[in-house]
Order: sequence, then structure tokens, then C-alpha cells
Amino acid sequence: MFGYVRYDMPNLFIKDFSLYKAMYCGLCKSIGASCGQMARMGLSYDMTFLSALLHNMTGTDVKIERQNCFEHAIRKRPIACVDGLTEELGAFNTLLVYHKLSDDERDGEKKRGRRLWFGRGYRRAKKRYPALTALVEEFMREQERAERAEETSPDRAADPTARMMRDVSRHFLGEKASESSDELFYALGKWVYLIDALDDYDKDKKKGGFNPFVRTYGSADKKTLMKEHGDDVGFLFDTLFYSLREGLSGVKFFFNRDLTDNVLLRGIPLETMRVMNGDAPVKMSVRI
Amino acid sequence: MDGRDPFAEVYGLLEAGDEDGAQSALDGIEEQSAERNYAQAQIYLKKKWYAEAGAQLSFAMEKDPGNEKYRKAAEELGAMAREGRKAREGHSAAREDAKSLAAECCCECSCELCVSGICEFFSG
Repeated sequence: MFGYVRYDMPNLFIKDFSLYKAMYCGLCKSIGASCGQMARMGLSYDMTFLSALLHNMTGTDVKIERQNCFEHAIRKRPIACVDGLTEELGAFNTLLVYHKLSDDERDGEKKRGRRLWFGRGYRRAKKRYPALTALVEEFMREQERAERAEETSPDRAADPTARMMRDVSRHFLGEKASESSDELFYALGKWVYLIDALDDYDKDKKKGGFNPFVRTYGSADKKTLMKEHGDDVGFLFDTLFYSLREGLSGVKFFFNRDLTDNVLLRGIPLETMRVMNGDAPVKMSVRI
Repeated sequence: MDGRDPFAEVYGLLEAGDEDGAQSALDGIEEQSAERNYAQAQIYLKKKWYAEAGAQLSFAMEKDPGNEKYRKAAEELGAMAREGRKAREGHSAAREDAKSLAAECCCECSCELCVSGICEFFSG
């Protein structure tokens, strides 16, 4: 589920890149504050993006200060200050990591050690944010049911994760949630699920793990899938991009939206093309 | 038959935003007509299940090829996909342009930003 939300570097302003880095470090500290130091290992760009998006949509200003952290103990760097929203997002990150590892373990992967590593953080998140935990766990159960169902398709299989993202956005946005934000987050959740499934096509085909693309099309490998059903797969993502754009156009932002627009309108389509073409992941780190 | 449109309830519930209710009402209709596929497509469109909606519209048009309403709905869905496709393919082309721009920039200047940032990104 993690690691696909990326920005499009050549079209990212330096101010936004600096903000993203500060928010990445801020989220790391927030995970430490809400779930303990061990849970910081689950930090992801995906959640950093969500943090940037939700701060903007809720009108929560990001305060940046020069601070130290254990990775940058000597030289201070700009880091977004910990706030209530980031702490809860840190807990959301920990809940997702823990469930992802549990899911992998159920699929026969050797993830027990890693799951236990996040166990304490998961328990802290559960205790501190019961409503968020209940929401995540309800959709995790629905996801499991959807993957066991006889009748499946990429649309159906992605629905629980997409609805989870929609409901999580409602949870964070409160009165600021709207039909447009629902559409935006549903599309985002659906994309996250489907891009992961498409990327894992060969692995799931070989190991027999659930994959909606394998179940629907059954091609021998991803390359063949794209050759035989590329138009169908393209249609699935293209309508999703339409939905993302539609949702985005109706959402109210309180601050500059260049960073989130870069990810949603450029980074996500580019990452989709990369996975569809079977190219290697692009390195995210840049020193400026 | 009492002459009522069996799908009116489905469309009414859909209009009111009750997708689950509309699905239950549709499940209660035994008629396997093109209109049923069209109604199912409308429910899927509301749920943002666009691929499933597309399949249902194809079935509807196969059963009733001359129906203008089905054709129009399928065209609208196709237009949405074409609009989305621009995002996927347009930005890929733009990125290729940006890559060559970065390469040209490196030949002409050697500012720290260019060398340590953009070039490292593309070489990585």
C-alpha cells in the first residue's frame, strides 16, 4: 500500500520541496509523539502527502522551526512542528503499517518480526485514537471480505480501501468535508489499492496471493496483461484520474496548493505510467 | 403488469443518493432487459465503479443497439476516460521535455542547484 504517492520533481517548486521535507520530518516526530520511537520506522511519503493535503483543507497552518532530531543531531534543519493533526496522522500511519504487515503475514510472508516491531505503536494508537482505529479496522475487515468474495473486479476489490480513505477524510475534515472531498479521497484510496495490485501482479500470480487484476484477467504476467488488456487497465486508471480532477476542482484550499496539485495531477499519473510500463521506481531523495 | 415503469423506483432512489436502496430495488426486478443493464450502469457510476459501469452499458447497447440514451451514456463515460488519459500521457511527455531541459541546462551552467539536485535526481 505504501510508497507510490510521489511528486513530479522537475515540476516541483523549491519552496514546495522544502515544505515537503519539513513536513516529512515533522510527521516522523509526530509518529514518535503519538505512537513511540519504534513506530517512526513506518514513516512514508504517502502519509506526508496526506498531511500536506489535510493541513491545507482544514486550514491548519504548518509552523516550521529549525530543530534537531536523532538523524540530524548536529545540524538543525527546518522541521514542521508537531500538531494535533499530524499526531493523529502519525497514528493512522502506524495503524496502516501494522495491518499491512499482519496481512502480509497471513499471506505467508515472513513479516512477524516487523509486525511485532510496530505492536507497541499500534496499541498506543488504538488507545489514543479509538474512533480512528475502529474506522480503519472496520474497513480492513471489509477488505478481507471483498478479497474472499466469489465475484470480483478491480472496482469491487478497491472499494473498501477507497471508502476507508473517504471516511478517514470525513473524520479529519469534519464540517469541511464535502461531496468533492469525498470524490477526491475515494479516488485516491482506489488508486493506492490498484497501483499496488498492478505492481504486485507478477508476485501475486506466482505465489497465488489475491490480486484483482490476476483474478479478472488471468494473463500469464504483467507484461502480457498490458499487451492483452492494456486498454481496460488504462480505462480503469483514466476514469480514476478524471475523478481525482473533478474532486480536486470542488475542494476548498486555505493555503497555496502547488505541492498537493503536483502530486495529484502529475506525480500520481506518472507513477501509474511507470508501473504500467514496468519501469524501476524513481529515486525520491534530492539534495538541494 | 400494472403499466408502471419497474425501473422508476431504482432511478428515484439513486436520485435521492441511496445507492444501496437502488441496488436492492434493481435486484428485485426479474426482467433481464437492456434497461436493466443501463440502470445497473447508473448505480455503478454513482459508486464510481467506472469499469463495471462501462461493461453494463456495453451489454445494454448490444441488446438495444439503436437506443440513444445508452449510446449517450457510453459516450460520456468514454469522454471522461479520454480526459483522464490526458493527465497520464500528457505529463509523461512533459516529463521527457523536462529531462532534456535539465540535460541542456547542465551543459550550459554548473550552478550548485542544478548539479546536486536535478542531475542527481535523473541519474539516480
